[in-house]
Amino acid sequence: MPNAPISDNFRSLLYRKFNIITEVEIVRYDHDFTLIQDIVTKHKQNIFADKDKFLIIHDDTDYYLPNCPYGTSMFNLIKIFTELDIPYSKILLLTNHVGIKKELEYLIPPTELHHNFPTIIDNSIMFHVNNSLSVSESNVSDLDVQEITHHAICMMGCKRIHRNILFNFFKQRHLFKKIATSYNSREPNAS
Amino acid sequence: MHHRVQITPFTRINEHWVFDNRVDSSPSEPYKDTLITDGVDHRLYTNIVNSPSNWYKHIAIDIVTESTFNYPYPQITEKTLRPILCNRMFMIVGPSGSLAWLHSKGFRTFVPFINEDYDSIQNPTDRIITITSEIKRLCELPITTIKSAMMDYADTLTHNFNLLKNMESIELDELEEML
Repeated sequence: MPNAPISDNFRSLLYRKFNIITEVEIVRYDHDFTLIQDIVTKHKQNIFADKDKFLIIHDDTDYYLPNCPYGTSMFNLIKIFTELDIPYSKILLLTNHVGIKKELEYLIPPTELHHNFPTIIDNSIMFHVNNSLSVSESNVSDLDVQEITHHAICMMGCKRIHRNILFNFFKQRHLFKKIATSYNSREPNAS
Repeated sequence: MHHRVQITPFTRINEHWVFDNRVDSSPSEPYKDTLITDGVDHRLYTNIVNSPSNWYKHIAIDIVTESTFNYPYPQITEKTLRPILCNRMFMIVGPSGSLAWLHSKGFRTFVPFINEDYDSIQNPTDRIITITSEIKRLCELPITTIKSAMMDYADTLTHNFNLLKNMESIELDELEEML
């Protein structure tokens, strides 16, 4: 069942604190939320224990319609729990969206806010296994400036508007000699 | 039955904001500087740290372009951790409040050498114009000045590295207490 990219230490703590019913990584399913609904439906129980939680991992970009105070992932997630009549408090949301609570406050009925609200963990940098592993594997390096030849580096993966602007700025200002740059150069799925 | 919203993968928050002719957001062709070694996955900074060529040692400042820019939350990913692990100064081309979030976690940044006013600017176009202005200013400095600044911030770089190495333990303790 554990399949989300959570560090072993974080997973261990969460499983010790709660009875994790299942793990759902939103980015795997955000092209079709009926898949999440199917997973949650499969694990629905008539009665939940206090510590039962659906562990929802939300660490990728959400989609926000203009002037809408919540993302479509959170909208759909709450709708799924509403439709299936599962308490929102069964959600354990692990996210790198610092301050996402306000979105859920929009989406959950006011009468439910105080006694039926998801548990949110939004203040962690290290819960993601990639971050955790990479930090643990890195070694201290000397602060040696002798070999510095460039002012800066800018490595950009897949195309985004802010990266277009930055790249065009470097190009128009002839900054490539001072800023070692790459953009969308080899990883079509890079984030 | 509630209506469920299905958004195509091509609809991103970032794509509805730049219709401002103060910046050029037109798409570009792929590009890679020869300094950046082929075969290195940019996303995995451990590869950079441990790369045989170790080309990261040739630069002083990492201009980190986070996954998002016009976004309601700071979203710190592995991209921002990379310069911290490599003892390099950095700027974050990301959501407003990204540096403030790092400060709240105990990390230090590079004021006054780098003007970090951009971090508190909410308007995305204004923010990226402030960022590019600062990049331009930094690039006009002699490389000796850049090197000297790195030495001036040696304590900050070491502090950040050590803090990041301990961050998982710190966060687990906080979470243990919170839950």
